[in-house]
Amino acid sequence: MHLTRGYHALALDFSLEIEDDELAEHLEWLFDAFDEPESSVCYEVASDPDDPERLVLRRDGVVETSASDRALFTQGLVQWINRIAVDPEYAVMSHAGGVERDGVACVFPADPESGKTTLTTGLVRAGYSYLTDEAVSFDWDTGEIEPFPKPLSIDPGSQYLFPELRPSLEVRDETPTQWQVPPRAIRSDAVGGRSRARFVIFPKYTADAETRLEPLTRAEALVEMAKNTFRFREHPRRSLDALADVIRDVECARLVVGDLDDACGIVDELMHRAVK
Amino acid sequence: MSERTVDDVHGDFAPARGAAVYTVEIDGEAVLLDEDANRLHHLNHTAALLWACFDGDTALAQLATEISEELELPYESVLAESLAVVRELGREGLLDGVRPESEPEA
Repeated sequence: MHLTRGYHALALDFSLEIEDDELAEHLEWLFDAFDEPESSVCYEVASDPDDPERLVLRRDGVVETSASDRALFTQGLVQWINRIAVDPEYAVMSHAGGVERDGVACVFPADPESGKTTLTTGLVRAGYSYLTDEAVSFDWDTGEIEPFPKPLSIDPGSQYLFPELRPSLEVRDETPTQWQVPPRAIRSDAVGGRSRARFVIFPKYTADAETRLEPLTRAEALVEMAKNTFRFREHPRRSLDALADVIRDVECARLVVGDLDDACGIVDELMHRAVK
Repeated sequence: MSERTVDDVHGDFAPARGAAVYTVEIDGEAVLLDEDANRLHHLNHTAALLWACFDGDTALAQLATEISEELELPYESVLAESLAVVRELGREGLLDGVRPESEPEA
């Protein structure tokens, strides 16, 4: 049985006890970017006693996620981390990707399938530091962003853009699934640190479109950010106020993405302007 | 306060911000959180300016007079735009005393 170190993932501090050494090595590689917390709750990864082909994640007899395949189990594990890490009692969190350079962050709130992970991955590959591709966590009081460096979850439709990131662990029957890619698989120094938002950009992938920025007022951006905030209804006024405090200090725009390299170039221009 | 329909809103109406509506002002525009309906609304500069004046006491005609004098704009066009804003906000259920469009008469 292999016991990993602890992993700090926003509201979730966890460690894993894994009976499969090969899987343990893979999961340690996958989660290496998470900081180590002072303490953590241990979850067991083991075969289902009723179905030895099936892997389960469980604690105190409660199964959190399971799958019949290592790659699918890994995907389910990442999704479980996303669910538990995101907690409005911890911070106000936007469904967004994010990158930073020298403490200056660019945040990409977006609906699913809008291309935020693809854009985030492209920017990390281009040299930016990775904050997250899922949840940008803003401190309730200061608005400071805490990184959530989960593995980047690259959908089948975008994988052709990043062939060098193909993971070793794939589904046995070759069903197209997400790739789970740790940021350090892109660059050894890819993991970002605490930062402040300077740009809030709403990406929208549109095939064959001209890649361009479209202006957005801060009030319009606040509405969109609020709509993309996890569990907004639990603290609506507090969330709106906290997001407004973030928005007041940023430039906002929509980014129509027809070509990834062009989109990365536009973001790069903005960030260079901010650093000057 | 008895409720009017949107079509019954005219210059004599004194709009009041809905009690369950929370306002955040930003760069002269506004974001409204309707907590009862769990909806968000964006107000441009004009609508945000009017919204800030909706105290339930000042009739729309009076507001239009004050705005037209302050900004040196024709009264009739200011009143027309103000009525359009109030009726739209009323349709969305954001004003006290105006029956939202989706609600039937009791």
